[in-house]
Amino acid sequence: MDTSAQPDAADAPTPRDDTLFVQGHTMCPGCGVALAVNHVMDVLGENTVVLFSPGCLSAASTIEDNYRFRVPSSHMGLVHSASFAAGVSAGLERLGLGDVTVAPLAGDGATGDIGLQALSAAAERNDDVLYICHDNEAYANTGVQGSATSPQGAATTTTPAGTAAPYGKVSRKKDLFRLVTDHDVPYAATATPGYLGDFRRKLEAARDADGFRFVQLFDPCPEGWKFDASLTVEVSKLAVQTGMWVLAESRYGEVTVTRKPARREPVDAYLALQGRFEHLTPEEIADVQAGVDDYWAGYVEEGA
Amino acid sequence: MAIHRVRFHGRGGQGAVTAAKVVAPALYAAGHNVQAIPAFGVERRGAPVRAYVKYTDDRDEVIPTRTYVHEPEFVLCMDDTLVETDRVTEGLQPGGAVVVNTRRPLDDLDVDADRVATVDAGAIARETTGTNIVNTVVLGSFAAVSGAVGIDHVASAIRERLPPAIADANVEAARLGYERTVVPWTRRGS
Amino acid sequence: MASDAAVAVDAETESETRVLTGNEAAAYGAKLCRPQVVSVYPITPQSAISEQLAADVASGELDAHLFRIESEHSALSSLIGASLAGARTFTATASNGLFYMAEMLHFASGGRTPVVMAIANRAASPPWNVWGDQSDSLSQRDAGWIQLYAENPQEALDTIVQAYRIAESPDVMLPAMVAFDGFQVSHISEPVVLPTQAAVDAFLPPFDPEHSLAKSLVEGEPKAFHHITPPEASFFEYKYRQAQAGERALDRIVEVDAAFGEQFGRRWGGLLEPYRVEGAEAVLLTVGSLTTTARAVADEYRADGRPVGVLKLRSYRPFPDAALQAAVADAAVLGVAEKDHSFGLTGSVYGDVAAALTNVDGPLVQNFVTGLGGREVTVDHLRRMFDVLLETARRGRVDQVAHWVGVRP
Repeated sequence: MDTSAQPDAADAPTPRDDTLFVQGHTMCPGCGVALAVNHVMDVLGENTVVLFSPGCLSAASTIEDNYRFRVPSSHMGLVHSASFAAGVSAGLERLGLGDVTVAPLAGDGATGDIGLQALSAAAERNDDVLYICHDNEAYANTGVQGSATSPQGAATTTTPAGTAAPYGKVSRKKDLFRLVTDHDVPYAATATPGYLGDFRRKLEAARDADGFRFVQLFDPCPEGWKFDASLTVEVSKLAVQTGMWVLAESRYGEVTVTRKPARREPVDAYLALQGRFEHLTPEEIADVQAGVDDYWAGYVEEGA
Repeated sequence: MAIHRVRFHGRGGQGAVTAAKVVAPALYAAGHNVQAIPAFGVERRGAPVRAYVKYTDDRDEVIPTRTYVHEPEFVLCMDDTLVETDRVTEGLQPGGAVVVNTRRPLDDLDVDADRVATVDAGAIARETTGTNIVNTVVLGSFAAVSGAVGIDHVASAIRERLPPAIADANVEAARLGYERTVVPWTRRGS
Repeated sequence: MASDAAVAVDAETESETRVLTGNEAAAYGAKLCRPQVVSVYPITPQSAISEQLAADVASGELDAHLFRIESEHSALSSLIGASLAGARTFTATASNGLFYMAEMLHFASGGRTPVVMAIANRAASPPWNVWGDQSDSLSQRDAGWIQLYAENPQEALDTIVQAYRIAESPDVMLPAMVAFDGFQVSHISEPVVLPTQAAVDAFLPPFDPEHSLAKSLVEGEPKAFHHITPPEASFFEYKYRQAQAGERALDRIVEVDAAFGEQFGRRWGGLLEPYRVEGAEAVLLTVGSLTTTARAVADEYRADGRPVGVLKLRSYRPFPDAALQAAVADAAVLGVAEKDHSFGLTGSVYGDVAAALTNVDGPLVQNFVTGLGGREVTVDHLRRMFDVLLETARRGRVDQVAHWVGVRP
């Protein structure tokens, strides 16, 4: 008769290297999330609890008999990353472990769609959590369905380009960084693996701060966005260079752009690299450009 | 074994439910077992609200039911406009007593009961608490009419149940309710 | 114990008696158990519990992290997280709130996190109704939670204290609901004996799970919880262990009630409590506050020479098959009175009772659906139930299984 209290509490794997995100996961070749998580775990260190939302990362690296994380960790549900993590953090604090970093790792759908309520509330309460959002602009794991952060004009499996709806996703990308910033949280940032120095500095800043911290990582997805797996870093850099992705951070609502291109590249090169945009007409591409121009005009006005 | 049954009638906002909640510890302190039940309706201001209290002679006696009071021994009507509209004497036991908060002479009211006491609770409430909330006044009336609790028991229950800032005024309201309720029949002994 | 005070103190046990509502009693019971993380979200008819706990934290009487949480789903999510961390937790809800957290009910039980939750039973809307019936927790019977039903404010307090000890038993480790009727218990004021903090501390040691995130950190041995388990991995085995733990809870509930009785002088019948069932031709099974009035009517019938009894069901999950079979072995007919319905005309409890009696020689079984949406169940309604049962006993067969007692034609 097994009387163990938590029968599914498994030991973490014996490391083949001394990293905390151990080799042997089954993420897609060229996956931006995998690249990002290597550095996330390296910066956060051992005094961390990571929590997984259902998605690519957990599906490919938190399987019984193929578990890839060497810190205490748990799987969560889809809806509640922020509140589940807040609970872990409060429980640890009550037990004298308040200095441990509690880091939920959640995708863009879990964060910007179904989990937005919990996210906003945890931010409002300033719960002590380091929330990391892996933004690959779709529900990638379940088949690249559209999410709130899918960009305008992108074809996803629930915003496909067809004769009656030639455009793909009609609405603009929801700006999660600005949304969280508007809660005046101690620290929020955007980052992408193509700019590693900026990326690591921001993760350090988030790790060392207290209260509700939010880091949104732009993680290109070769499978979902339809580009060659060798181009992940280039796609990441081009997103920043064209202004499609803003590298910024905020403290208590004050925004600073951390990399402002002297001259933004036209979006064409970025869009041309990815199959999810191939249906766009030149007019529609011009629309996308106008959208990016508008967005940056907003930042300039704010003096960021 | 005797179970005594009380029914409060009020309008939403007059504190009928609180009255039942406050009289319960008073009755307990006076040596009775007690059960207080608000009738559960949507509490809109002005809508009729009922609350119920059952108590035994002795603390060791069990109150065997959890139903509303359908056959009250005492009815406390906190608003005389309810006399006609809310059937306040419904189920009243033979010999049961009704207390009505009213400024009108008893003969003007058409209360279908042998024993009817009156009190101008509104005036007492304004005099003591400066509000129109008559519930603690009516508890004083209950003490006077039933003999089940002393006014001191009511006072200590008010202090236990109401916020400190308003307790004193409400204790005074209850005391005046006790003293000024007009009981036109011989009171039972305490 | 004569006293003029509105609060009476028992000289021997030093426990106070106060006149409290069911909600106040439940909140007091939770406080005595020293939960470390509490989440509060308002919903009629338990909002007073949330308010009382918040007041207790603000005054320092309760040393806990209190989440002013934004939804019931997050209420349970945050507590599951805290429990996994290694902390003791508490929340309260009803009806729509319970349904909103339904996903997480399965998470807590499958995840073996022993959260304790009070339910002030409320109807399922629409039509919109905030009043007391048992549809909420009864309909969640399959979510893997221990479910104990309390008849009055005292039992609500006592059962919450018991629930922690049952739920946190190393060989159980399942979450527990303590349910009591919305309004009919939550808002009723009655004398309640308040156990002392010292007595509860002696009865309930601190939460000390074998595995937790805290232990994993302190011991330097990272553990992974709730990992993905594909079909050929251990999912089926984990569920089997969970099921076995549920069975073990049957014994634990009885033991803990007995231990509570020894320490505090009150016991509540363990899994189920018979009243005048011995020699009864017709027995009425009841859940919650209806039990009180049912006993009074049974007394009336017995005084009249009509042999009836009442069987109070205290533990709905785990369902006490064996204890039920033994209790009603000699009765001709058993009626199940409940304030819910499952689908069609019968209720959830009826289904479980009928299943428990299916393989044994036992009574005929009928179902009384009553009191939905807070409709008052009167003494007359209970008389009608006993009359139906006695007629069934006379005929020796069930002509109509389900009766909706109190519904207007």
